[in-house]
Amino acid sequence: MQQNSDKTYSELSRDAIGDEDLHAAIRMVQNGMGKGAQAMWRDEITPEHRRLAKEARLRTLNNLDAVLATLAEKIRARGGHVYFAATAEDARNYCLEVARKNNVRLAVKGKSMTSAEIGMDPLLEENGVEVVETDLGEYIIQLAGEAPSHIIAPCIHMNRKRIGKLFQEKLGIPYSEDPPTLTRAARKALREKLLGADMGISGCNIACAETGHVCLVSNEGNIRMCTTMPKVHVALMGMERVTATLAEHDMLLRLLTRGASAQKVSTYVSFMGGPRQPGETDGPEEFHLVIIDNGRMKMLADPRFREVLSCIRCGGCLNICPVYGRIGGHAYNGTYCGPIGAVLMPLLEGVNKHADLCRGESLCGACKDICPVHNDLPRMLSELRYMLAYGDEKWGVEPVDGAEACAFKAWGAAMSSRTAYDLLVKAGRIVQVPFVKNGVLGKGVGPLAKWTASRDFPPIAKKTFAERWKTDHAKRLNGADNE
Amino acid sequence: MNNEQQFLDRIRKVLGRDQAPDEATLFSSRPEGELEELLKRADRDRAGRLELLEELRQSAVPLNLNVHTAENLEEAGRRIANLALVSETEWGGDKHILMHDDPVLHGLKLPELLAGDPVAVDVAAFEPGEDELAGKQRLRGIAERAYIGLTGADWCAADCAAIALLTGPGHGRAVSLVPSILISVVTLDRMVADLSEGYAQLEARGELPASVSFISGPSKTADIEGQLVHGAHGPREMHLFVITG
Ligand code: SF4
Repeated sequence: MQQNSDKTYSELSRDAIGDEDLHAAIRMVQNGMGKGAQAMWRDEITPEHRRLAKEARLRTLNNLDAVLATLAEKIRARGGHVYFAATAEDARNYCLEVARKNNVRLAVKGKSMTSAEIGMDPLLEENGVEVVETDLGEYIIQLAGEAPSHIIAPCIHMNRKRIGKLFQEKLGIPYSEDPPTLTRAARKALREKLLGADMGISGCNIACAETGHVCLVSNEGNIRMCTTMPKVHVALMGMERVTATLAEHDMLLRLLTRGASAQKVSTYVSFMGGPRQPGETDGPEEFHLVIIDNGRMKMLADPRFREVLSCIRCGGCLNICPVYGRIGGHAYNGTYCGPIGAVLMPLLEGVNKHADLCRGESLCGACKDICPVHNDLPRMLSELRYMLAYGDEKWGVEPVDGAEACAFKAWGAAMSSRTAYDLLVKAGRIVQVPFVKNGVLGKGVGPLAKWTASRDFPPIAKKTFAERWKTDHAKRLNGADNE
Repeated sequence: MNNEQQFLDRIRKVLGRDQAPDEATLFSSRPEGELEELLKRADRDRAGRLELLEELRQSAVPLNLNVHTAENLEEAGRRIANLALVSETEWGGDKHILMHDDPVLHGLKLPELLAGDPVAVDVAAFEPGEDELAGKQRLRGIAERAYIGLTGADWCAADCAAIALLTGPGHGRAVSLVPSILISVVTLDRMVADLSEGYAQLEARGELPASVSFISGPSKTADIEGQLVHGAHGPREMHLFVITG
């Protein structure tokens, strides 16, 4: 899986918190797309629409065997190939095999996070295939040797000066920081690649089983180029990225383009369900769809996490998340970033491996509000934290922090006994005194120390609610008696 | 497909079911009568369609899509010929127009209108008896050189200014994609209000071809500091002619 740093999530996010340029760039996206999507939910999309969309997503997931079988059957009827890949390795090898059979020298790619997830590019490159990203943002970061930092706007962390210098160096054009000039230079360079490639690799936004098509949205037209001009088209699809019917597709497409970029519809929506048909003057001669499990089956099997598979990867949750807003996409250090990444990455790659990530989000609930299909990411993050505190056999999770688990246990015990609780509160008030600054607990002790290293904690009140209730309520009662 | 069966069986197992679900309900998720209702709604009278045309004009503005209206095909033909004469080629070379093999487009009579000018008009269709792979190569060469691609449209949705193109013989994918300027011609009776009415048209058709595209305006990107630029990898300019007569 794509990773750009040996540092951990905690280290990367600490670096990013000091990066003012990054914050400005994200602010721009969050103010534009995030607020745009919210306005569209308010003004144009009824809550009923979103409810029905979620219902449709869950219905498809609950019947995924039948839906995928229909999709495959329809695509084969048009002469397309469908391959079911249980693991990332299966999927990679299948693609390599297709490339080998067709003597592929140059492959062009249209935005596919799945290909990053399965580690497609390194394998092709090791085998002598040049791989070129064709989405402008992805192309820029490929030239820079970096990883994407946003689902929809992969290079938002780079400003025009950096891009100008990069193009000067890599494309040999005179330095410019004018976006139209830079775009034209990339258009020219990429056109050569798009027209010269032997194979096009795409992802899949939402397939439609009933009609037998994968469907991709783009504004640039690179997806249509990748899937039309090369003689082979390979589409990579996570097994959940499918709807049963065209009517459901209509419903979800509208949510996808609005959630992603506040557009009613993107410039291009392409449905592709097979190679060039007899009599057609263009289109690929071979069409392959690779349907990928790579850990999704486990999510499907677990009622706590099945819901996350209804995600349509609109990126909406990134555009609202205050944590993403401060640390950017690279801190997540994986293929999927933002709140959705914080749930997906641990489930795909191991909860212990991504323990920091599970505990990084603030659980403020903004991502749930903006999510077009109401994915309850905060609930799933809490489930992950619970696993980390107590362990989970099914997911092979070891409790990471014994002290934390003990503290929670003690807390639980204290909460269930009135006397113990009162005693604890009294003791806490005394212990906390040296640590309270400006009205907050800046640095805690013991189990609190780690938590408060990057957060503020409210000190225990001079009087707890229960204590106030006791005295105030008594007073009020007495007052009433006096009247 | 052993591999496939294993995969699907595993799904069934993790879902805790021992048999296939009821496909009849799964694939008819629309409430009864909804499709008919959408089709009826889309079948509006001329006044209703002219209203949609107004809406289309508005929604096209932010997309940088130029909407033109013409009374009839002759008028549209003259104006498209003019557009061809004043437009420049992007990559140099001669002026080539590549158009779909479509009765409406033939009605524009472009070859006749441009006969005295240095603009070639080619039709994206195989010649009689031509080998398909050789013909594909030939047409690809023309598409790469062409500065204008000319298509019809299956329908045009007013609220988001998207047209639908279905592939088939004579309706290749590259025509709307590779040339620098895309010109599409749609008759008023193909106007629908929104994507839902458009999807309903597709659904009513039954089987769909191998490829279907919705296109709304010229290609664009905002990847460099969020600044919108037209002409990323597809056409950098798009014109939509609505024939009102
Ligand atoms: S979780 Fe929701 S908001 Fe986030 S990417 Fe997925 S669908 Fe969009």
